[in-house]
Amino acid sequence: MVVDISEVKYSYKSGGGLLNVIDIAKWSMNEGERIAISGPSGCGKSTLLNVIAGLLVPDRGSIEICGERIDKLGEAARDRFRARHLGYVFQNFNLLQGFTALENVLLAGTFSGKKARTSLSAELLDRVGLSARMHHYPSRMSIGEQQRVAVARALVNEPNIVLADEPTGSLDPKNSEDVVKLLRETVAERGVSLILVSHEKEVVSAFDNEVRFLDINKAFESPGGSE
Amino acid sequence: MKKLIAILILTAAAAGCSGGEAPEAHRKAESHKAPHNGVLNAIEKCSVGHVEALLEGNKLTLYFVGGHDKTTTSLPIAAESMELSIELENGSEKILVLDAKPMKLAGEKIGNCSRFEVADDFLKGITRFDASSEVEINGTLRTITIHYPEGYHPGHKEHEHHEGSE
Amino acid sequence: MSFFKIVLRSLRQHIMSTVLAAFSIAIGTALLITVYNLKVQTQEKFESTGSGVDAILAPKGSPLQVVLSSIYNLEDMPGEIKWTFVKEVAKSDLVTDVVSFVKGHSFGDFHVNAIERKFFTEFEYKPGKKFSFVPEDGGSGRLFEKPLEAVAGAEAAKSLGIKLGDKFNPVCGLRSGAPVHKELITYVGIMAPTGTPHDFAIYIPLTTVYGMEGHSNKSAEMAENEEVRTVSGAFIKLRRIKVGSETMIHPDIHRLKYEIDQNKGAQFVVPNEVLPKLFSIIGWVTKVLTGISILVIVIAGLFLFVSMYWALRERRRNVALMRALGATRRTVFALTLTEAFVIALIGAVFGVITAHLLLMAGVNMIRAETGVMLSATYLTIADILAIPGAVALGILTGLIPAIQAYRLGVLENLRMIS
Repeated sequence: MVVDISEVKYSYKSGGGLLNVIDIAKWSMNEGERIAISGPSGCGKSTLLNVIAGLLVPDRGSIEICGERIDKLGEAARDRFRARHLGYVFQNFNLLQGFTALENVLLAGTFSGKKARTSLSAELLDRVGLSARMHHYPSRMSIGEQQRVAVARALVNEPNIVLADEPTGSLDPKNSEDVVKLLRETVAERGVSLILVSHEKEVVSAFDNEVRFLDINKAFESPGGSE
Repeated sequence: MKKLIAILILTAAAAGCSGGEAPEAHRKAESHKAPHNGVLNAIEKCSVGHVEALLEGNKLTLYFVGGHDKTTTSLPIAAESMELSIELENGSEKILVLDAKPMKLAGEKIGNCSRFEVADDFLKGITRFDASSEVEINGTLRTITIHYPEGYHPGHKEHEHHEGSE
Repeated sequence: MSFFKIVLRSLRQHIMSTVLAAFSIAIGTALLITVYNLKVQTQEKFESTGSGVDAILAPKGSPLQVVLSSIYNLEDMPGEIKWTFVKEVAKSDLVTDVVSFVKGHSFGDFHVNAIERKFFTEFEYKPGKKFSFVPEDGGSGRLFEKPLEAVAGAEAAKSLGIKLGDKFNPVCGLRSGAPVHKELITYVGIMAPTGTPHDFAIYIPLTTVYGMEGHSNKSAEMAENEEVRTVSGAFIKLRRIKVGSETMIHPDIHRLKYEIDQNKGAQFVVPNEVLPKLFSIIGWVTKVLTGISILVIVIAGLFLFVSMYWALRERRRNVALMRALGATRRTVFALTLTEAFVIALIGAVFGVITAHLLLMAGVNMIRAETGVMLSATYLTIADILAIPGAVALGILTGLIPAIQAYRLGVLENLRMIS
């Protein structure tokens, strides 16, 4: 299993009390699986992703990613773990404006401690159809192209899991479709697990034949629930 | 170069010397400086002039110098000699005659001389004495009072030194 | 992608503020180095060359002008003194030697000094060192023997391209446009370098100057009649006494000085007493300029701090993104601090270069205006400390923005929603 969650709870302070965002009794994911998590805005999908990424620490419970108990790691260790084992595709592309497409991809490799993988980065950019744009800055790219750079960046570390948080949230339908297709194909080619969060039914449904998807409300009402 | 030095001096004046502060400091630093490392004694009052007393072995030299802070300027007098009445700690007294010893390089001569000297065994080994005399300075008879080694500075604490005053 | 490449990319992203911050640091550094350099060189120049002359017998006037004129060959002397008076002073048992000179003539940018022959044969410009014309010492030719002969100091000869046998007409004055004498004087000797201002002058026999065409009849009479002769001044060597293992000037010199200073027409100037006053003036000027330079650097540091502080507010998303990609808090702290350090370092390096370019322009101007020769490539402790100083400045100004980067929250700055 690449993800094994048990008795995890996360809440935050709100209006003088505590608001439960996540309360998961048991959930796991196998290597190579591709899961789409759906649910309305504010239901805790991104919070779950952040907990898995080690950006948030649960109030209680255990989270095992690739055999490592990340809830037991210190912040710096979680950062390094994330750099080595996880790839992240954000909703808002989140490319560094002062860096070219190639440099944005290489940057993800810098913090993992691995040697600069220029050839792999170029290869990934080529795979996402941007070999001619690798020396361009994000300001000179369309939104679809920027998100494709983000996909390449998420894969450059050869991660175990790619986390995609609303990757099509800022895209038009055509670009959405292209990016989803790209994401699906590239993770499959590399045997990388994928957790994709989206509130868009069209995006989630694109994974029908290949992934186990969870409706986050239904999934967390019963342990290991799936549709 | 003159321009450069003028600028340097002006800048220094602006930077380090403000208003009357530095000139005052300079006056205080140079006032009552004994030019021969002797002992200064005011002639009646500081404004008239000073007598610098220098005792070396059995030789006593008196230099007449300027008043206020002009103690490095000589004050030649007309006398060819002067009688000095000396009283020692042990009460013994003697009158010594000091002769004018013109400083040739200063352009002095007898009758226009600021240095007076005497060598006498009476002075041998002494470290403290009082002396008095009378000399004419610029037409006025003045009383000379010498306290060695303290010096004579009547009413020194009250008065201040001013540029250009008597 | 290397750590430093990330730093450089980040700096490039904010190129305007980076360049301005580095520029202001460069200016402050250049000013500081230039001011300090000029001060050190000037002081060394004057301090290393007062020796050989214990005192100067001179006419009444500014003691500083006397020293600058007679020893450093700058400016003119304030007047004249009688030859007979000089001879009287020479009789003092405190005086071991006296060398009279007449100033007021020039050739090219150099003073032509009429001086007694014994200046070259008996006078020690440094303890144990006399002037030399011997080729092994770097000199050539010989000392003048006839009225219309001259010798040149090493630097004057180099600057004017003087060769033995060359001739010149001395100018009656020190300023351009002054009349030129008809006498044609021949260079018969070039002095070996001494490292003193004596290298920067031309010398002719003392009595030659009196009879030059254009001078008054009274001046011409001075050549033969010592009773009426006047000179610009005289170098004085004083008697010394041994105190323990050291030799020092006789302590009675202050009595000699007092006596001569009372003379209405003369004064006794001791260069070692006058020069500290000059340095005090220079010191004040230097303090003011140094203060201004430090102020510029402080402002540059503030500018750097403010630009980094505000840049962080713009770049918090970038920092948060890097954290999300796996950069630790320490890494983003180091990146931010390194940015400040690099800006300060670039500023310091350019500051050092600019300083020496400024010196290059400055030394030429100083030489043209004052005759003082300084070097644009002279290095001081300020050059060495500029870089570590920049490091310190960079670290100091970058510390707060770096701490802010360290403490930055990832999620709130990436605007992640649940």
